[in-house]
Amino acid sequence: MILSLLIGLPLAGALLVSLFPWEKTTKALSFLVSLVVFIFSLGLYTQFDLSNAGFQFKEQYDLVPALGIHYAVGIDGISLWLVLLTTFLVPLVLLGGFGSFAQRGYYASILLMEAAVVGALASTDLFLFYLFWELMLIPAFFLIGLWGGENKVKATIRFILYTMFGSLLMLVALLYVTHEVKSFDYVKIADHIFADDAQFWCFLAFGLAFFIKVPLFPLHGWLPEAYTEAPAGGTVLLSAIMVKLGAYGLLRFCIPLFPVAAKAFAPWIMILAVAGLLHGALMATLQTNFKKVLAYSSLSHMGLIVLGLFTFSLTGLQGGMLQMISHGAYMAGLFLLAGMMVERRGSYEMSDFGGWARQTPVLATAFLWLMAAAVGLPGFAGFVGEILVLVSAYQVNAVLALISILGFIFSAWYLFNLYGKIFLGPVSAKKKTIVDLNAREILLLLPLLVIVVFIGLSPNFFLRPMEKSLQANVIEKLKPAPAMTDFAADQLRLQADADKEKGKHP
Amino acid sequence: MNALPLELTALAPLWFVVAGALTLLLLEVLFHEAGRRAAPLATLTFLLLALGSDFRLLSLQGMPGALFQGSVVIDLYSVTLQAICALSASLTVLFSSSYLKREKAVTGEYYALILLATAGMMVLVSAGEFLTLFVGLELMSIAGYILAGYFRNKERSAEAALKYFLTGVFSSAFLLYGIAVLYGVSGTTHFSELRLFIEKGLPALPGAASQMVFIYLGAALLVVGLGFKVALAPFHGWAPDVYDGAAAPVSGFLSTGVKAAAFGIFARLFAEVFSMPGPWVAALATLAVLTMTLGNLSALAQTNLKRMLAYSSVAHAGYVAVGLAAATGSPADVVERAVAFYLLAYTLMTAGVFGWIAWASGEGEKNSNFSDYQGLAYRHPGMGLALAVFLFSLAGMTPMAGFFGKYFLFKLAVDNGLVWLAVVAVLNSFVSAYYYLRAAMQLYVRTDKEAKAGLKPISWGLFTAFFICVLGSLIAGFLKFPF
Repeated sequence: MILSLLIGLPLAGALLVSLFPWEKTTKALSFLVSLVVFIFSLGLYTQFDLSNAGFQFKEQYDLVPALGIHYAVGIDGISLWLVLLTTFLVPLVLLGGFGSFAQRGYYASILLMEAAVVGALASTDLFLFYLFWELMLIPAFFLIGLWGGENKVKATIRFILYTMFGSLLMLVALLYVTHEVKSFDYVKIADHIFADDAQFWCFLAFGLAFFIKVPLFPLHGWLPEAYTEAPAGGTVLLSAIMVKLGAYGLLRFCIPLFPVAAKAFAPWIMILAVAGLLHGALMATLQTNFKKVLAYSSLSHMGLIVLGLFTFSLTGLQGGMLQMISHGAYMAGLFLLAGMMVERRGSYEMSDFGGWARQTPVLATAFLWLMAAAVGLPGFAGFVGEILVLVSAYQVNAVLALISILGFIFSAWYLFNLYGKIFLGPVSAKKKTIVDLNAREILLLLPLLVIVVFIGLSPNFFLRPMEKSLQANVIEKLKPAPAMTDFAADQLRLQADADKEKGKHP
Repeated sequence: MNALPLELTALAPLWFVVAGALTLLLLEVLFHEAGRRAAPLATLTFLLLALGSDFRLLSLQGMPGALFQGSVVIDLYSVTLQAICALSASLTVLFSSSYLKREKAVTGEYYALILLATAGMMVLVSAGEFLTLFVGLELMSIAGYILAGYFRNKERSAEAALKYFLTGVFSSAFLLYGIAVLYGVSGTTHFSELRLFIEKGLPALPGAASQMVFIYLGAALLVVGLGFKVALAPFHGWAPDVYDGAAAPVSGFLSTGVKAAAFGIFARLFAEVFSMPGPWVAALATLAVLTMTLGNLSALAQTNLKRMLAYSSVAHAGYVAVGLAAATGSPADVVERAVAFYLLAYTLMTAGVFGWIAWASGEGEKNSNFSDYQGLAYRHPGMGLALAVFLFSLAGMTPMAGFFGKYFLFKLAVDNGLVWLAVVAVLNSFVSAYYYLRAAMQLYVRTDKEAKAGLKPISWGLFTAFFICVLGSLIAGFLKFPF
């Protein structure tokens, strides 16, 4: 029941907000709905059974009985944190928009996005997953297309077309997979072993959809424009939540359903992940628009997540997952701050800023705090995920791991450079009194500031619930059939056990 | 059991529509101005009666099946299609009534023609043999020709009617040749007997292989004839000009009801008669690829919403043809369900868009370029959202009806081993998404231009029609389908 509430409440809220006769109350109404959703979602954590690797909180009803399509939802350790991340961030995003947006459509779109994201994360029926997955595009269309910046038309169309291209090919693969297994049930499909050449094509088709969403270099063409043109709240939804669904899709579908293909492609994907990491970092150093810097740094950090997932070791998977959560938290914070700054300054150009640390000490502190998490200072969120991924990547391919460290050096450089240009130095020539954060803004940043430290200080709080599910739903699937190659299976198991030991003491 | 009452009740929808057509012709003669004013309401009443009796039939346990010595088949499929045609006609009436008032062209015969065309569609989709099929098709088409040229003083409308008429009779000739050839080989015009003949009778004959050639020839001529009617490439040349030239509500009617009926019977032929492996699989697949690709690529280049839709409607015929190509090997009811659902979804969204154009393009349909409705969503948020919903649904975005429609059709293709065809189809959907989204984006472009005056507020009739189309486009995929 709880998962249906998490999907149904925002959906109902979106409808209510768009039909509510008093436009002025829609802000409060939408915030209230998202807050209730968040409170309900905490129940997922408190009632989560750590010993169960499979899906929990399961529900199932007929959707299209003639085809065997069900409304079937459930979450495991992999989706748990992403659902919670979503329900945690949406109220903050809504609160962040209070200053700039009065139209009901904005709030309705965000709630619709929440329903779609939670729905996609919780679906255990492939058709239902696709429905929610594609549903995300509609609120995204309105968020960027209606409330975007100057180049919103181009950015919207490009974003939607990129993502649709991948999704449509995934649809064909999905049709094929469900035709082969004669079921839409994820568990049944995951137990099915597909022929090698079918795995090859299906991995590519599913993968394309997810790699575009993540996005993996060189499929990131939609990202810089979409992030820059979207309003701050929209950018948060895209960068902190929606791209995580790409990584989630890889973990949920690409790797466990098509393990042979996944292993064959893994070396290439790791190279592309590192290439994206470096490309994002280099591009970020070249930007003069600070929202673009953040956009490219977000891209760069997503490369690390993909790198972690494709090491196929528990450490790497956990690192990737943890990095998803931390990336969601600090990127959300940074983009929300970017929104607050543009409300005050009316520009994203770094040259229009300068010396803000003296005018707005609270804002500057919050920015520095979140930046520390992004750069990966020990004790902050980014650090643990990065170390876990790098350690496991080093075992697979030492050269790649060493190259990707370069990305972090860059990361520190461009972010501190950004901080310097905006907050230090002489006050910008076009003088205008800039007010510091108000109570609402502090209130909405506070949870993020706390969480990035919490993740950094007690990563095991987050790692423990996902461990069993990662082991059973991903790593087990990657093992070759034991009857065929006993020796290799043992080797893999030993390797996994060794990884597990390391995973416990990061 | 007395046969007569059953044949009366099972065909009740048809009787209502025919009675309506005759009544409307009389209405204007007898009551002049008052009759003219009452025409839309009267038409709607008869259509709703027809729809109601369709729903009653759908709720029956057990369908009547073949009636009139098998010349009419009343089963779930034909009744569903009848309902879709009646729905299309009802929406057209709702959209037309304010359109005709605006264009100062209110007449009673307009509505009578719509009802006559609907009667033709109902006969067509319920046909169980070729001559009934032909009679229905002609009744539908002739009414359609006149409707296309209803604004006969307008050059484009007259041109559309002439083009439509000439290609229409041309295609009817193909169809008749096909029927004649099939009759010549098999000695029957009944679908079920023809199928039996192809499967059992023909292989037993001496020289079966050479006889089979005539079956192929007949089927090919049928494909050409029906292909013209539903505008499959390369027989689609007339479609863009006709849909663009006719009055917007009429274009909506021609591209939904008329096309749905023709596709309905087309699908029945290939799901029930020519459902064994044969050269038609490759032929239909080729036509599907051509139609989708030509339609979508031409639509890409348009800057006029109505003309873009004219081409996109060609592309949509291609998607249905994907389902037809995959009809071999699937159970007939699966194919028919997929096609019927697609036609329903297509009717809802396309009728909605053409109705929208009829409303937004203003007097004389002068303003249907993209640039004419830039920023419209800021002045009319509800109507902006309505167009966005229709376009999203046409683009096949979830959870709109258009997505489910495509899903069922492409699923047929994949289930029958035509994965390549499904890939071509989704790539085409991708291309179409570009122009639909570009069109939808125009609604939200802020312009400095002054708000276009003269957009009339929505009447209740229009509101109802748009409401049905929007709601249908949003939720049709989740409804329980009759079969």
